[in-house]
Amino acid sequence: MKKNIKQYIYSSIILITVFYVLYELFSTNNYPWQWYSVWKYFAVYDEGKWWAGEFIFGMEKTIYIVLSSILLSFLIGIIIAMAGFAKGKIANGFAKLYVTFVRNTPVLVQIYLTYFILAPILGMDRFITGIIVLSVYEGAFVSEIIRGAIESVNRGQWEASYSLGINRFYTARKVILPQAMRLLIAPMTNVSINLLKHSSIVSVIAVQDLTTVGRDLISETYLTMEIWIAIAFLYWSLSSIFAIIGRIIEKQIKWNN
Amino acid sequence: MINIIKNILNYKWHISDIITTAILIMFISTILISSIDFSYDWNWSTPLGYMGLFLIGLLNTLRLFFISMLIGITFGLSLAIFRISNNHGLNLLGTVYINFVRNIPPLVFLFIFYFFISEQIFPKLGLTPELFENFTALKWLFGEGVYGANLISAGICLGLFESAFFAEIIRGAIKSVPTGQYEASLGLGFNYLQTIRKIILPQALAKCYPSLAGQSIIALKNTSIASLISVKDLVFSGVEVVTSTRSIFEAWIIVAIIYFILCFTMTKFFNYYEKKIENKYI
Repeated sequence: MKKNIKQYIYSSIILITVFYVLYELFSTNNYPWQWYSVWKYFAVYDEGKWWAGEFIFGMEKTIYIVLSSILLSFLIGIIIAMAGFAKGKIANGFAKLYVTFVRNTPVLVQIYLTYFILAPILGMDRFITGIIVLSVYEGAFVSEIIRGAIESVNRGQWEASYSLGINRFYTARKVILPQAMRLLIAPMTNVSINLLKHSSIVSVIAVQDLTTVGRDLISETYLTMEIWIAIAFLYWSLSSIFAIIGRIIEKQIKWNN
Repeated sequence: MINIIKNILNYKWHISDIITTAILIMFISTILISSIDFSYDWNWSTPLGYMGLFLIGLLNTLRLFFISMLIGITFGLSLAIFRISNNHGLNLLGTVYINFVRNIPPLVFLFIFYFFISEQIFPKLGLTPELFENFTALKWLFGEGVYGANLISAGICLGLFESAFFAEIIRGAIKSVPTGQYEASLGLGFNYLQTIRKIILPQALAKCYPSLAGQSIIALKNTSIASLISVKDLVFSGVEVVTSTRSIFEAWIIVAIIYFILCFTMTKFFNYYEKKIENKYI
């Protein structure tokens, strides 16, 4: 009991100091805070109805980009993992080359490479370019995750399945993948949060996502700190929602097994 | 030599090989067919003449990387110790910071804290652009005038961002050290800080070396974002070359190759040391 009280005193002292430092930093500068003018970018009440603000449109675009890149990157990941596991040496080499190249260059450089070189040749618009770059980038990580999950399934499962007369493809599909899927959920949640975070980089090619909306609003209104903090909050809540969904799916799968 | 050629000629094509080659040929032929209408005259000599600019960009990228690693590791280590401590206040502080930083994009984090640090905190500490012009040591370490101050504040921001990730990795490793080690060390009369510093951390850091290495390569890649707040790193020099010479393709290919070489050599370097550490400690 005595220790408890001491601890509470310590922790309250620490928290008060931190809040005081933050307050000092935020208040003694000459930055005029205008939080009241930020709310209208979330939602506006007009003519007896709620209208979505700019932030909501940006968020809609961001969610669209992230969801489509999750699907595409999962597809790419499965294909690359399959190529990595295949018996052919050329397929193996291609998978290895892809993963090494993608993992060793920044997303920003990949976006510039694709947007300035591939997009004008193939006639892609910037929205599709953004989705493709994000899914190619995250696909490499997904393929590594799938590879790890498949390798972590016991080798005896393959052998038992072969000895029952089931062929390689069918073994992979019916015996190994269902076991590997369980291990995939947590890392895939991680990947989707990573995708959400990387999707802000797409703003450099002027896709109208949340970050671009923020940049445009700042150049109109000069409310730098307020708008960035609001956008950080929106990103934070989005990725918290992703994390919660991932946890629910994980629980569901544990119940089923 | 003859054997290699023989092996290539005798290579038996697996189905996966055929599919991969078919897809690659389809992809490349689509690009070639659509690039018939698209005329671009390749000119490698102009951007290669700007190699000095690329090298300065590379130097600045490395400076950013070192600053961010320094701050990331030290701050991350203290956050990890906050999070394993019994003190509720420290624990809450660490949890809130890590939760906040890990859930927002690096770009947004940089935009918030870069302006905050460079416009509010630096003037208070007396780190002005004039200081960077007057001291030769600072000029050599971080670059000239305004760019030096910008580079340092961007590096600090990136370091603060990475520290959350380093903290989680280190915390996981500390948790994986068996509790018997704490009890034994406390029983031998070490105090708490000594236990952490001399007994727990050496074991934990050897364990989390691979993930720390991976995270530091991610940190190196994240430094490219600093170009968006006009720190003159490698990507920024790419933009500069593109705007001054209009050789878009070559400049971006050069930037990508430099980044690839940098990260690839780092990966190999870390792998080499990983084996050494595994032999020594685990």
